[in-house]
Amino acid sequence: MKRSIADARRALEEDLIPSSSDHVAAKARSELAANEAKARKYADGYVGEGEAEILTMRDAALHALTETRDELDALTAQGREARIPTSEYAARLRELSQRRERAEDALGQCEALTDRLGQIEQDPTAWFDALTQRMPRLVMDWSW
Amino acid sequence: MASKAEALRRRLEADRKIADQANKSLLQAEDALTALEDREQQRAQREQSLRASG
Repeated sequence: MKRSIADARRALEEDLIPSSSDHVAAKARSELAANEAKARKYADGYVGEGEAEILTMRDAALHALTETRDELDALTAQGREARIPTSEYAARLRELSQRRERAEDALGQCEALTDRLGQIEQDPTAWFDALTQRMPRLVMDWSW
Repeated sequence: MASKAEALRRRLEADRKIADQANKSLLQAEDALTALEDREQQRAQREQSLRASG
């Protein structure tokens, strides 16, 4: 029978175990453990992919922030020494300010995605169950 | 063992220092622009005064 892990767990504890022999209950528990392990493995793969994406995004954001910081410092030095026309300075500052904002937004996005991964790691089977609502082909088969 | 998310979180927290530095650099650059604009305005006023005095 196809059902979510939470539903299978509930049915095992409330229906199957009270009315079954120890042998049948042990077999069902072992099936539950195996399917939970499959769900955890799936979640772990998803988290691994997410981690790689976050790291790529983070590296790019960090590179942009470092570069922008250095270019802003160089621009400030030019401005203090009045070695650059005001209009040119203002245009360059606008450009650098936008680049800094985009990089900081990307860093914030990395933090939000990291929080999401943390939630998955905390309860991978609940995440898997939620996923099967959107992807019914992933719903597991159970012997009860 | 620390989770992947926890390790990422620690890394991102450290990255915030660079973001703070970039923000500080931006504020300094904005201050420098204000100073440049002030200087330019003062120069324009001086030139105008000179022209007016003939």
